[in-house]
Amino acid sequence: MKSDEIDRALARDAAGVRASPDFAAAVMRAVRREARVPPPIPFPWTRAAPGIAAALLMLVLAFTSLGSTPGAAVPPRAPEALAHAAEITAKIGNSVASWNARSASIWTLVVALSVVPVFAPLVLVRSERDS
Amino acid sequence: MTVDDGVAAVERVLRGDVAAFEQIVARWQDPLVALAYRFCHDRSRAEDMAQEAFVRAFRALHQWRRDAAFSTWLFAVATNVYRAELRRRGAPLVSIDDVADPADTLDLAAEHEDSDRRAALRRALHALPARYRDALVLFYFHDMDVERAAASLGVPSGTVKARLSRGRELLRRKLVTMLGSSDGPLEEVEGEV
Repeated sequence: MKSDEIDRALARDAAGVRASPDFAAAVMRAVRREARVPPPIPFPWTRAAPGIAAALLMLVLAFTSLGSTPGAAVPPRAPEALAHAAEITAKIGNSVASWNARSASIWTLVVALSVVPVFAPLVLVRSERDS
Repeated sequence: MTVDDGVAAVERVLRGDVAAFEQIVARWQDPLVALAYRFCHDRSRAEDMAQEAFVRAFRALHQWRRDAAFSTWLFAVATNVYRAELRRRGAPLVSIDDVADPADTLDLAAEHEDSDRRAALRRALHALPARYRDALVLFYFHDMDVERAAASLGVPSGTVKARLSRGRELLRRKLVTMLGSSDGPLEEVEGEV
């Protein structure tokens, strides 16, 4: 098959193909259906921004407090470490326990602060639309 | 309605007059169905695809920027719909019966051979990688206008030219395999641009 023959064949491909008589009516039915569908609810970024900012701030605070936890003390030299092994273990245990309690309370606060402003506007918009 | 004077109808639709969209459909239904047919070679499926393209255009009408002709934007929307449809449902199966043109039946033997060749051409076209197939389909649909094909595909003209060049070469190679003949030595295919 020669190049010009390919050109001709591809150029006239679909020549004479036309929409059927009821095509426009079918399209308009679909378009009217589409027009009746309400637009999707956009995410309320402006309302959610304070909540997201607060959540990020709390995250930063949480990581900052993690860095300043007294559990990460510099270990003493080997002979002293051997001598005070029991004491150090006890200190670490106490420190971990206190950190766990603190982190749990911080995370609870973060979740509470972030979830309410993010989801409250969506609930409000939905309830307005339903009513 | 002339080629690109759908602007008034678009304005009315954007103001909430959904019925005005019918003018746009009436003006562009044949080209959009014909373009869809070039992608799928199935009349029923082509109309489904064209309908989806119109609905998508209706939904995105506010995104049309006046820096391009409405027809350019509409063909770009339709092309995206058709390419996505082919990706989703795969390339069409082209049958001899579908290819045969009942208008040219004077010489049945010649017609049969011609149909075979056109069927082979369509099979070869749809066996090409999508980027070459799409460039070829759009180029011939737009009466061999590279600029318009590029606008429909949303790529630079140079890219379309490169894809056309390589697509034609690949097409010839496939046709040689399918039909068992060649009209000349085939050049080595360069890398994709």
